[in-house]
Amino acid sequence: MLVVLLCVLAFAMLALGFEMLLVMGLPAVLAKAAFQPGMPDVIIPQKIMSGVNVGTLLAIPFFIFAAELMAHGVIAKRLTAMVRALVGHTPGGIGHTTVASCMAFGAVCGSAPATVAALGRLCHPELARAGYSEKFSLGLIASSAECALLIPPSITMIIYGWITGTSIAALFAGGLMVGVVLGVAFMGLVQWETWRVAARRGDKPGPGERLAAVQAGAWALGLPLVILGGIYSGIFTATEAAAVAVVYAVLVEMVVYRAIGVRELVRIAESSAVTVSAIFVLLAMGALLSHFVVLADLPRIVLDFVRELNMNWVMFLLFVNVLLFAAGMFIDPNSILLLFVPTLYPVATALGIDPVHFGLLVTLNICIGMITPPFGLDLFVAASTLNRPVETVIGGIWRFVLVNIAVLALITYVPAISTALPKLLL
Amino acid sequence: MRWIERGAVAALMIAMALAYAFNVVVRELAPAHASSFAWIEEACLFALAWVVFLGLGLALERGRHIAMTSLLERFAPRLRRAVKLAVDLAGVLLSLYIAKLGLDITLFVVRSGQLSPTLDASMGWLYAAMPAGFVLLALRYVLELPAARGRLAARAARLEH
Repeated sequence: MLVVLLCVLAFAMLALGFEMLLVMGLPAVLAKAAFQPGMPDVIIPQKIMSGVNVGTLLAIPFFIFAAELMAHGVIAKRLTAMVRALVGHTPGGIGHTTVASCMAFGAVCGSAPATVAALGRLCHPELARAGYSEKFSLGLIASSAECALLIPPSITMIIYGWITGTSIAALFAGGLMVGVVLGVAFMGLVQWETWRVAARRGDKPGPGERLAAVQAGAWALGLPLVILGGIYSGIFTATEAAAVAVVYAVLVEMVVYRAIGVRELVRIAESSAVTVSAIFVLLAMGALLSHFVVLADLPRIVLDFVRELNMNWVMFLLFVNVLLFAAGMFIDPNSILLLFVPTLYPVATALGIDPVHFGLLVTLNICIGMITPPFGLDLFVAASTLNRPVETVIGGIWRFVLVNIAVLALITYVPAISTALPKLLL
Repeated sequence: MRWIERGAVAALMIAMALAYAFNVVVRELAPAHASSFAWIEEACLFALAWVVFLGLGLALERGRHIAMTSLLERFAPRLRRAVKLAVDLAGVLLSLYIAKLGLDITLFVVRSGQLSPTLDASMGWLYAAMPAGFVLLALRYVLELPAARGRLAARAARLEH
């Protein structure tokens, strides 16, 4: 009874606009007082610290810092220019450039909103000039950015790996495949739209121009090589790759391209630190909350329920997808991980589902949540960086959501797409 | 005061990345010396804790903490004011409660003399970030009390144009 009351309290706080740290923290503290009154109170600060003082999570501040550096400097611009020089002149080329740039930027950045902010302004005017409708262009920008969450590095996967103890390198390898599948699916949609509106092609650049664009982007292109090459050759851990990425980005932006000065570096560091604080306070409060979730035996209750309904893994994953899709419409990505994964993961492994496969499925669901109204974060970021009403972005998003759901079904029921590459590499 | 907060989190961010990358370079180029820099990883984790907790107050006043405010924004001004007051009060109470527990645990580990494994520093340096940060957060929630919109306006300005 009390558990239900606490859930209702949490949901009411969430809906009324309480900060997520309060939505997780208050019920956790109350649950401690109600169910474990005998336990010493020091468990609370200990658990809070246990969500911060973790070696693998150290990759997150570094990846955030690197992404903000690249978004404010010129690395994002050079990568886009390079992709455009290579594919811009093909039918649907400008649309494909948007998807492929997001995938390329995703390979250096682990956050979808950062990708929307960095690439939206670069791609949007060109999409309009090529003849795509406003709604389609905005939808394409908001949803292509999802690839950043799937193509390594990915902050979402690092957090999932921490919660479940799954290898982050394996998640990254699987995410690469899933990200490519999603990107190709979006390109299919671009091709269809291109035929429908007879969109204009980009100009075909000469070989000299192409070479120049590739040369200009070479330093930027070095970054994904350093990150992925370093991780899979065994030189770096993910965290080390992230720290090296920061230093590489600082060197390239400040010394090679001279796009960022010292004053701006400090400003970017400060703004990254505030982002880090906002994410980690959720991890801290989530660690506290999930401690009491596990103590309350919630995973076993769900597992019993699943067993009683005679669910096999196919049914269970359908249930997970529907649950996360609904939750993703309202709750932000990191909170979804912290609220649901501690309960669902033990059930998934009990049903014999591969941890990497389950992680990618959760990540893909989170991606969809970022572009579904009413609270998809990417929709708001796209609207605010491009100065368009949110309603216009939402108006163009439904086709992308449908494509996304089709890809989700494919990834859910063909586990090999997620697990083949990790098995090959590791 | 705010200037110190901002400078501290920025400096810690930069220092963490440089130190951690330095560690990798040393290990690859001069593996013999790698063990003498093993403390860097732990120092970075201490720095991360300080960034996270010192950043709480700054994140609040800029409306950067994650919250679902769409419904709240649609309320009539008087109702919105009442709900915001409830949020701020809950924020003050929870932050102060965690700050107090954080102070308790800090004093406890200082007294017990518990040292970190490789850094050889008192674990108190790690835990002290928590009371410091949550006091700053409580302070920001108190400052938000009289404001009708406060951080809601900052958040709206960031999301809508």
